[in-house]
Amino acid sequence: MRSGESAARPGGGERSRIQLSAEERLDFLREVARAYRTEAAANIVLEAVGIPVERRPAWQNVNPEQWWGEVFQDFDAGIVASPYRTLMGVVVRTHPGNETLHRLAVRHGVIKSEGGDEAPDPAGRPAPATDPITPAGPADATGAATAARPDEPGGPELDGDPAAVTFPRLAAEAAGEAEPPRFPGRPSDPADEDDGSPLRRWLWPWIAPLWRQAKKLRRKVQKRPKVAIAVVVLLAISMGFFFYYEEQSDDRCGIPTELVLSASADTADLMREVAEDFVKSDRDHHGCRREHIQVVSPSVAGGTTKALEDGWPSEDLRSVGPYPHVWIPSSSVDVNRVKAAIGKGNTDIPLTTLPSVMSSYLVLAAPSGLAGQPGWDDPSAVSLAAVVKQAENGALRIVREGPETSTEGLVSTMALYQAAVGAPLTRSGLSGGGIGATLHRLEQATITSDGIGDPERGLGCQAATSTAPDFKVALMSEQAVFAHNKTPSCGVPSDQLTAFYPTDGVPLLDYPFVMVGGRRWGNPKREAVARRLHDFLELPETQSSIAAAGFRPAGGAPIDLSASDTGIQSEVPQAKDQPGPAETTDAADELEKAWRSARRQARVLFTIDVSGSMAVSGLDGVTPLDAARQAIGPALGLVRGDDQIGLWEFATRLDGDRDYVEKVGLGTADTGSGSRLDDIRQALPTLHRENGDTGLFDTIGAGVAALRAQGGATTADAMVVFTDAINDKPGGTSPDRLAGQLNLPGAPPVRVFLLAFGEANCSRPDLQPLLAGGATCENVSSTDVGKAVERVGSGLWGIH
Amino acid sequence: MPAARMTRLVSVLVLACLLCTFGVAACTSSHRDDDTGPINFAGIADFTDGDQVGKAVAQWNKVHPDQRVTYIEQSESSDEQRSQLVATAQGALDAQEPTECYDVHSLDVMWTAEFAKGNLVVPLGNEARRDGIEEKLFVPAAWDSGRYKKKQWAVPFLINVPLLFYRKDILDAEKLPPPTSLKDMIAKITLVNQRRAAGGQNPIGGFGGQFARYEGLTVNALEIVRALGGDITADPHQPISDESHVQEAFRQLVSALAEGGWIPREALTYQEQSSREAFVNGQLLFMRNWPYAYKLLTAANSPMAGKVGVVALPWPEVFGGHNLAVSSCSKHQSTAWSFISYLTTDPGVQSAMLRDGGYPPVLKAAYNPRRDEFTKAISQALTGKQNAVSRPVTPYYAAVSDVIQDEVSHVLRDHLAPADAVEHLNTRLPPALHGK
Repeated sequence: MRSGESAARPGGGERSRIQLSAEERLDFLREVARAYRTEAAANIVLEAVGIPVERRPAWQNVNPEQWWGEVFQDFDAGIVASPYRTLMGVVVRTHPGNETLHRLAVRHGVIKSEGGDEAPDPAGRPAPATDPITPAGPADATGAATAARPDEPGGPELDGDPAAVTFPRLAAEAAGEAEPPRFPGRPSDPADEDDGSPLRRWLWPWIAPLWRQAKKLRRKVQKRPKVAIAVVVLLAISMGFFFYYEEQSDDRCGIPTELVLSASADTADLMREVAEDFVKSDRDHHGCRREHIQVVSPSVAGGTTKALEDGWPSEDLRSVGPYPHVWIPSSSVDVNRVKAAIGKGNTDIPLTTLPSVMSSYLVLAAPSGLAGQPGWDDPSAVSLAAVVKQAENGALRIVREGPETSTEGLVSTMALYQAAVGAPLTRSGLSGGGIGATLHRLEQATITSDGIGDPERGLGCQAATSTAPDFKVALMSEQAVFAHNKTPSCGVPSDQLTAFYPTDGVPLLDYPFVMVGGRRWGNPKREAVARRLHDFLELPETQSSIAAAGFRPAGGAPIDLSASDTGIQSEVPQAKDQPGPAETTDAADELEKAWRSARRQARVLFTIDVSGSMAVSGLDGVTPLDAARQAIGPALGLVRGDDQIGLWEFATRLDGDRDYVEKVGLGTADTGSGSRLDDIRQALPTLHRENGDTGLFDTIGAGVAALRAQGGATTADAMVVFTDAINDKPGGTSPDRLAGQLNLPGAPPVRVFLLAFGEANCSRPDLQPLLAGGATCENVSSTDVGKAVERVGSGLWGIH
Repeated sequence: MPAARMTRLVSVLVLACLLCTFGVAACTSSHRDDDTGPINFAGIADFTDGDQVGKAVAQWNKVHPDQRVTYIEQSESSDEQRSQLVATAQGALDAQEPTECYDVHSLDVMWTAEFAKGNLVVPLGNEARRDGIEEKLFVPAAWDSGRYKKKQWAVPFLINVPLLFYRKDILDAEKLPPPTSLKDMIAKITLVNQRRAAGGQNPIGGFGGQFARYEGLTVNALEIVRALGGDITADPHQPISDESHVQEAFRQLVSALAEGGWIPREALTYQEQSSREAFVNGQLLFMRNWPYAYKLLTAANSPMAGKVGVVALPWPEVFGGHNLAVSSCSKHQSTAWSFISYLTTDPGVQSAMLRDGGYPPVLKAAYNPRRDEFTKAISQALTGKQNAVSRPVTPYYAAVSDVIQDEVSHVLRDHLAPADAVEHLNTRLPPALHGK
């Protein structure tokens, strides 16, 4: 195929047209693309050829060969007259050393060969007869020379040294005096590999299209400057209005990220203050708040821990409150309890614990009236075990929160129980024999305060307003002592408190910082806020604020006390053998059960069989009646002043139709002279054997009814019957009926303990229905009845 | 490729992008008719007698078993309620995987701006109008509380106007009428306790408002400060008008809470329920509370039955209320709008809210000339617009209220002098009003 100038040229002749063979055209294309491989260079050449700017193809995502290919197609379509001839004339003069171009130019008569002959056609075709082209003048800078001039075969003529005159830049390039124009193609274009930095090469493909469009726009603007100015002015005015409106708008700031921080009641006020300081310091570059922190405290005792253990039930938000995103409990004990629930699969809420930022010791806080007295003159020389003894002896009362009221209450209870028992408390240790009675005594000597939210009824005020002989000491945090002394808020005049650090161990409240996540409310923005808050809490300035509120740094480190009469010590106390959070957690559930059981008021009806069989002496010469009288004495030691006790004797029809006589009626035991305890002790010797039968079952029935009349779920009701277990009253209630009475639906439970003198009397057939109905029977003798009574005590106040 | 061809191609691409953008926007603002299904309703804590909100939900579920509504009662504290709603909505917006979404929010009237600006709720569109929600049905003030930047974002559900409850038995025994102003009330408290002391009786606590550190404190503080001549946040550019009156108001409140004052110190822990409990237990002569308390106080089994009187709050009042909005995260917005329409326009539901909850109706048609004491009190409160105290309408209301609670709480607990509190409010409120 031959291509060539196809357009007719006015005044043009045959000899102005070049007929290129396909092979020649291809060669020519390649060489031109090699010689003018940038858009700038190519445009200069096309300017000389006379191709108008708007008719040139866009140099976008093409390589030079492809681009020149498009140009050649336009040539073939007759975009201008004799484009090939003109182009060849230009290129051969700017690249005189290019053999291919030279050959083609000579062959087609664009230039004369050095030998005067035209180059032979490699295909052997005769050379066309043409005149050598005459160089024309400089190309029209505006590109207006697009139409062929009548006196030219086509396109601008080249005149003189085309490189020097028409293309001074090209001449300078050829002479090595100027850098060729740079127009990086695609990054893969080998010609561009050494152009510019890697960043520029990477960015340029993205910028290049905009760059070209901008250049085109510039040319258009140059043609229509008034329109362009009007558009720019309109844009400027619009932007001005926009920014002015934005500036004046009152709500430019976005809505802050919401974060709920659950804090224990003793830290809530402090957390609100530091949270506000954090939010102020964490504004964005517009000065806008980035977060809003809502500080909440549990609305019910232990609420946050329990709710987390239960997976924070949606159906109970009214009582448990909003999901916490950050949780700062008093102690890691609570965190470990939730983690234990996670381990059991009860909940899937993930917790992330960050380093703690504060701490406080659990201390004994004594009013100033007590501090300084013998035994209370050295804050580092008091043991909790000794204080417990004093409390049990009635010298003072211990006040603390219950284990279900707060974590502080749980840790306090653990410390107290350990001091009372004299050994570290573990899960198995809390269920041992005799523990129940010990703990019951202890609970009777302490006051459990549930005054959440009411500082006037709080631990500090209860201790600070107590006076001799009814001093109270409070188990409370060191920080609470500090706060009370700084700003007493008891509503009435109150003493300063002094913190005593027990020698047998000082528990530490470590206030862990826990991020609460999970699919339901985990959120990267919120987590970022939580972490920034934690970082803020660790800053020295924030730590100073925390210390000013009476909290120590993390880990119980020394506290920097600026004031002198704070009531607490700055140095670290000696802490010995205190259970850590893990151990405390392990025993926490059992501890709460033990506490609930120990706290119950005991109501015990001692009932002694005085029938004839109880007066038969054993081998040791002691009658069962005597043994019973002797055993009751120690049993009376199980009950405390708040408990209720009574004493009956029974046989058959001792009081009209009744088989029993109320020697001492059921009532509060009290202590001291004139108390019911004394009444019972005095009544015991008056119990005498009565001849006759034994109305055992009827008496038990009457005793159960009497206990139920005033008992309830909060009392441990029991009937302790000292008997030989023989029921021989004719016509009395049957054991089956009595068993039914014991298990009456909806009736308060009453434990019936039969201490049966005589071997195997508990195996009597008529007793079996009663035992099956829940009564307990133990075969006893005069020598072991006392131990049996101790076991009864454990049964009353032990763990169920 | 020729330049002209390239230009045409670019133009077509730009036009296509614009069409897509508007088309997507159009698609997200309207919903298909089959956009129905089960939804979550994060609702106000139900204080009504007989759990009327719960009953309304149960009735809906009975009729629409395939569009079941799960009623999630929020905390009684409005601050905590707001936190839960905002945190959940933000979590749903930001989540890349399914998370909890409350399809219908019950929003305090002060939260409309925040939820709208945060794109946490969607505005009313044709869907809502098809469900019968129209402006002309509602009390204008209630409807306006659901607007922000000329768009309607929420539909009125409950109106709340503060009322003054008093021990009618005690005042009648002393032959005293109900108070007609704050000063009149203070005088009556003093007089009653003087007479009780003379008769060997223990004094009775005077006035119980909501002074715990939460939104209730903001409301009560605004009311009493206005009653004593000052104003807080009347103007965003001048948050404290007449500083001397505001200082004096704070001083009077501090004095009231001191020994022998007309506000018992326990009131510093009162929210709505605890103040009502104190009143029921005979610890208060007067109580400021919302209308819901009337039903509970006058119920047949209430210890205060027959002993309670009620009047409109005889000093400037802050209106409250709750509106319902559809969450941006809701996948069943058709159901959500239908449910909202049911709760807000169904005469049976609104009647139950009034009858058993004491909530004034949001529907104009529900007002009739009943003349009982309770309705009179509500009507007086609603029509006394000149007495209304406005809380600032701002998307950053939570921060604004925090500042007020903070400063007023410190003053009332004697931790801050009144003059310092006023200075702090002047400094802290302007940036808080603008989210800074």
